[in-house]
Amino acid sequence: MLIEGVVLCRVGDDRLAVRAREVTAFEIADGTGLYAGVGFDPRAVTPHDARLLRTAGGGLVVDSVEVHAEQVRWLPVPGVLARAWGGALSGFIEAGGALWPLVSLERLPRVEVAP
Amino acid sequence: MADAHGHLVFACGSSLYAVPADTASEVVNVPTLTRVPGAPGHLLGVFAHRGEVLPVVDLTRLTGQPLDDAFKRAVLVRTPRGAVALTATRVLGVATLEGQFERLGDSGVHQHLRGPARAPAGEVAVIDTQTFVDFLASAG
Repeated sequence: MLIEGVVLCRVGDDRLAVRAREVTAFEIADGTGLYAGVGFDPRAVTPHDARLLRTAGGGLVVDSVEVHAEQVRWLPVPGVLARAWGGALSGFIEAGGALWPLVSLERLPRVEVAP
Repeated sequence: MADAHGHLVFACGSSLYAVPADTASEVVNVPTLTRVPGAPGHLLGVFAHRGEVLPVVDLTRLTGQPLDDAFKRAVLVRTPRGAVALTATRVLGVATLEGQFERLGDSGVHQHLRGPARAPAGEVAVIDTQTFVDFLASAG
């Protein structure tokens, strides 16, 4: 299946993707929001110069973002990973010759961010 | 007691394992993996193979005997719950096993290993692939 409109994110040495339609704004992180490092551990420390993906339910902090407008192939989550990230892992996309775990922002724990 | 069905025998580190041959779909070369942050340590990562995403599971980490070397091959196992690629240092082929097929432990991954069984190459732990993959899914 092909999808379009993804945001490719770097988090430390890892990468993940989100659907662009889930992001309402891109901002400089100000210490609020859930950092995606270490598998969305709420105890993880947000690095300096991080980016906040503001969503309807709160926000997700990553190290860097790149909007990818072209269509990409979406692959489903394998059975053994169905519970990963509390169910927020919603598949994988192929972009730039690599696999990117796709996170469903609406399924992540809600973390309030300052308006 | 002899097992009437063939098993694919492979080494992972210093231990020998076997999976029912009808669940072992192929032996694959492990490419560069994509990590899933926060996943259990025995899940080394995933890769795309023929249109599906395959998780790679390191048996040495599951059994508490981690190796430092990167794995180059894996045995692809398919069950109704899904497919996983089990790391292998050597693949020895299909063999008929003799011996016991009792549970090798009462907790963790050892609940899903059976034996001790014997293959021509030596003593092996037989992986109950159905319960083993269910176990991985519950741990993920």
